[in-house]
Amino acid sequence: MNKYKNNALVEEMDAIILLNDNYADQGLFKGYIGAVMSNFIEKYGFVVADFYNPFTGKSIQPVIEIKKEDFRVISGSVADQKLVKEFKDLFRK
Amino acid sequence: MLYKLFILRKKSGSTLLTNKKSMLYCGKQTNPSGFVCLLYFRRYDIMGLLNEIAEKLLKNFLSLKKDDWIEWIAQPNDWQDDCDKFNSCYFIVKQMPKYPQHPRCRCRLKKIAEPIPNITAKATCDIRKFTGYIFSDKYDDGKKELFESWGYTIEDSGYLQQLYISQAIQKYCDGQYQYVGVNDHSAKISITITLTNQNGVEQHINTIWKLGQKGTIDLIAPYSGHNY
Repeated sequence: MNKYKNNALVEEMDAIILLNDNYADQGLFKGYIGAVMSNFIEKYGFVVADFYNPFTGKSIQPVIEIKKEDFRVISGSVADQKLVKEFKDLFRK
Repeated sequence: MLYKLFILRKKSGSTLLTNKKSMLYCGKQTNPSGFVCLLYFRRYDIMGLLNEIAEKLLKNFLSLKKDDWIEWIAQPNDWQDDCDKFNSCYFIVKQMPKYPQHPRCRCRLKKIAEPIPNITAKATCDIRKFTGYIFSDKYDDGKKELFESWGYTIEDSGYLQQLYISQAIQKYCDGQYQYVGVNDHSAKISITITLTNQNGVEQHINTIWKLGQKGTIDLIAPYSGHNY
C-alpha cells in the first residue's frame, strides 16, 4: 500500500487533485490541484491543503480541509501529468 | 542573453552500445594472460553518470558559477514532461533543479542579475496561514502551543505575516534557500525563518515556499519543523 492507493499515507507538500465539486462554494472544483500542509486523516479524516493559482501564486484557498474521500494524490504518471496540464490550462492567460 | 543547448543529446543511449535490456556494453579489455573481459555496466549507473557529466558540461558551457542566477525557460512539448513547473522561475545555480531535466529536454537557462527584494522579487504570505492554521483551535498538532510558548498569539498574525515576508524575500534574494524538489505541480524551496521568543532566544524554523514566475515566492507551510 502506498500514498497513491491509500490517502491516509499522504505526506506534507504532496500534490492532490479534487475528485468532485464538493468544495465549489469555496471556489474549488473537480480537477483542481493543491498542496498538502498537514495530514489529519487518522485523527479527523481530512487533510489541510493550500490551493493557489499555478501561475500567479495567488491563493484560491490557502487553508482548507479536504476530506479523505474527496481527493487523491497526483503521481508522476503520464495520465496525471496530463491532468496537471489541464488544471494549469484553466489559468493560463 | 539566451543560450540553447544541444550537446550530449546523441550520447544518451544511442552512441553507447546497448546489448542487454538493462545493461550498456562499454568496451572490452584484454589482460596479460589473454582473457578478454567485456565491460558491462547497469544502464542506470551509466545514465546517472552521463547526466552528472552532462550537467557539469552544460553549466561550464554557460559559464555559470554557483552564485549566478538564472531564469528557467521551459519549452512547450508533446510529451507531457511538465517542465513548465519551472518556467520563468529564478534560481541561484547552487540551488536549482537538475538541468537538463530529462533526455531531449528543450528548456533553456537565461542568466539574470541577482533578484532585488520587492523590486525584481516578491514574497506573499496569506494571513490565514496563521489565523486559520497555526493558531487554529481545530487542529491538535502542537503548532499553536509551540508558537504560544514563544510568546506569539493569534493577535500577532499580522506581525508574523510581515516578518515572514521580509525575512523570506531577503534570504531568497541572498540565495539562502534550499531547493527541496517538486510535487508534480510546482517547485518548492525551504527558507529558515528566525523568530525571537519572549526570552530573547532565537528559534530557527523551516518554512516551505512555492516558487512562482519572475521571482515570486508564496508561503505554503509556515512551520515545517525546526532547524537546529
